[in-house]
Amino acid sequence: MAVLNPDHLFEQANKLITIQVGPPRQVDIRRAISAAYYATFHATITAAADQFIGVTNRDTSRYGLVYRSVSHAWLRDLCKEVQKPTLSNKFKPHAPSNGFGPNITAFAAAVVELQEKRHAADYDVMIRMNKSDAVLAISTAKAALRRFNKTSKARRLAYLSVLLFPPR
Amino acid sequence: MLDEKRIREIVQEVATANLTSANVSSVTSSAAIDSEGHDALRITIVIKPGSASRIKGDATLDTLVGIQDRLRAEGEERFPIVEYATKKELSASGGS
Repeated sequence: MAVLNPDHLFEQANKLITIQVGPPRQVDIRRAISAAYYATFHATITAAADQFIGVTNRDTSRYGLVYRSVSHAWLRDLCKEVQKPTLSNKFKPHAPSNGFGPNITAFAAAVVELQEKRHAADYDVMIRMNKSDAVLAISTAKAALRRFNKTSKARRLAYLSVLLFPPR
Repeated sequence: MLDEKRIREIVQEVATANLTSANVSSVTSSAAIDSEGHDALRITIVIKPGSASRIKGDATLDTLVGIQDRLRAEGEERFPIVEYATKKELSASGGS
């Protein structure tokens, strides 16, 4: 099992936009933005798989199954849901009694935004992306993961539970 | 749906509060379509040269959350795609 280290993705992103002389190429800016999103994606999925399968079981096939069970679309939908001032009825029973809180909602806002940027970076050739946006996408992604890691255990567990076991 | 003037006012207030006026030059807003095909807002915060390396991630994250919260509170349902650029980057033309 080769769990991707989010710090390495951030380092890769920074290298892509800083090592050249002159303005970075569009391909490098776009890959940097994509890497910033993937750092948050993999960190989140790793947290979920570690929580429910266990860090010591990372080399088992069930860890791989859980890791691959979360789609980008579902992560995005859940992140949109937890940002709502009032949760949908099917989510309410699974939310912490005092809500998901500001750290999870800030993290969720960043995930949705970064996923949108990642999609544009990978597919939208009609826009020109720039270095400033890539630099700040990386900073935002790092801050989002710090907020996620600062979240109380109860709130994080509630979020990761719903991420892996979507309510029906 | 808010008009563009009100959107720019909100974004300017939130951006200046979180990023400081030393880093923010202006803001722009235009209609866009998100990756799912829904109506969205493309918001560009124009920053001053060198600001990208000075602005902290917590400030951009709070800006993002603040913009979303304020727009939602005023009834704007379109998803805001928040971008940053310097004036020079905005005026750059051609690909590389």
